[in-house]
Amino acid sequence: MNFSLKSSRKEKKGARRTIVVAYSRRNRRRVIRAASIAVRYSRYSPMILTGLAAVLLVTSMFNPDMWKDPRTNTTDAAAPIISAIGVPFRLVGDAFGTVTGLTQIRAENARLHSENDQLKEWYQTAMLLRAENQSLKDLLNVLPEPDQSYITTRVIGDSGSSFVKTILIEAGTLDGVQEGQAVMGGQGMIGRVIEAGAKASRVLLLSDINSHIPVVIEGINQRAILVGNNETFPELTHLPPDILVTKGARIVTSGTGGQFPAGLPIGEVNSVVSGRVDVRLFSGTEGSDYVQVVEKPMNPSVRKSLDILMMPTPSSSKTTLHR
Amino acid sequence: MPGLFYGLSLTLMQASKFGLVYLMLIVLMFLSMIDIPMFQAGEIRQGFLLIGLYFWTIYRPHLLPYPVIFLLGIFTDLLSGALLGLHAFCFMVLAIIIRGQRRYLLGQSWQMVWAGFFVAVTITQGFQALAYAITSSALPQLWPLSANIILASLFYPLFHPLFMSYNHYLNE
Repeated sequence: MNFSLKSSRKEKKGARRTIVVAYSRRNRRRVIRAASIAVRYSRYSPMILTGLAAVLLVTSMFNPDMWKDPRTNTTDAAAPIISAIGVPFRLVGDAFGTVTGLTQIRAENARLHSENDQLKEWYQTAMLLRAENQSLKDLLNVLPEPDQSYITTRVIGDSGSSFVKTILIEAGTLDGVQEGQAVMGGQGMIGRVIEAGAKASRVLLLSDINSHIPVVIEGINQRAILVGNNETFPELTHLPPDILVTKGARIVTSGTGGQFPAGLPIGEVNSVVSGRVDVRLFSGTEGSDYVQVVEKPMNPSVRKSLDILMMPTPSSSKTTLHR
Repeated sequence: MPGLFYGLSLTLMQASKFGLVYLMLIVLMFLSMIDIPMFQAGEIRQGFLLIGLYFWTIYRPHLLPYPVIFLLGIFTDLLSGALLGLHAFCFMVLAIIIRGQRRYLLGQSWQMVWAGFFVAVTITQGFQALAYAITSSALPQLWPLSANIILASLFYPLFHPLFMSYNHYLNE
């Protein structure tokens, strides 16, 4: 009995040892397999990742909107970080501007005095023209242009590339920004919103090669398309061959398509060389910390009907009083 | 017990020393997108991240495995509004080339390493110009492209001594 007990213990021990050996062998095999996979992966991972990048690139080249959502979400998430990292640089820039600006203040003051005198004269003329314009509109019963509202916001970043001309602004759909809205700099239009996240949006500048804006040349009232070329001066296309465009003619938005309000200042004709018309933009992005997003124009007739709807009626006023 | 704490603090210090390299790369990535008043032109700033990637791929390749380089490229594309995969592809190709040449570059003077960076910027810019030429069906102008390459390369000597001294610190 005793002997049988001892033998069974030995058997158990032996079996346990066999299990441990088998387990350790299996484990070793697993480790070797994992190591071989890791080696194979490390050998092929650059090729796999380069291939993946190439596939992503081709898909975004042929369908740029395919990766719009991840792009917008990433920009939204990173906007506070970009803004925070930019703070010290903005402060240094401001301080630098203040120091260098002190020496220029005297000259600037004299120039502004003379400019102010001229502007006062222009103001009187403008008031007269405005009154005349209003009375003529009243006579002709012209539908009033919808009032524009603006969202003023800070520029927090840009594309940092010479092939993509975009800027990042610190306002999104939560602030009322929508895709397609025009964006104004200090003197004139600089671009349009192409991606609107919740807290940040991306603006495609007029100088970007993908920017096409319907415009009108003031004075000759000729419609054209302002096309960006990734250079300083965008050019006008779709002009008739016999049209005479003079240097210095103002370019404003035409409002065609209802995307932007008509009459937003853009720039002036810089040069006309062998049929190519270059435009100098009134407002560049350089040095502009703040921009204004123009709300989309509402159809005047829709606005009129809305006004009628919103007009206080006797019953509604009564209800209000009752409450 | 004190030994354990000493070991733990030593490990944490090592991790933070190496982690700072990643932090530098992330800051460089954001710096290339921030509207810095001093460096208005995008072409000057776009080489910032490339400088970091180039340097650390030569001197500390184990700190920059390929998936990290790929992710940095993807994030740059997502944040800059560039074509998705463009920077990732350029960075991957560059990393493969640099790793192939790192033994040679390690034995060279910093001027030669700088010359190598010039080649790296030329490859990146050239490929980006090609990609945008295909998408916009317009040939890029040679002069602005050359100016971008030169301007982006000019910043390398500013970063090289800083990175090199940190690299020496990592050796200690």
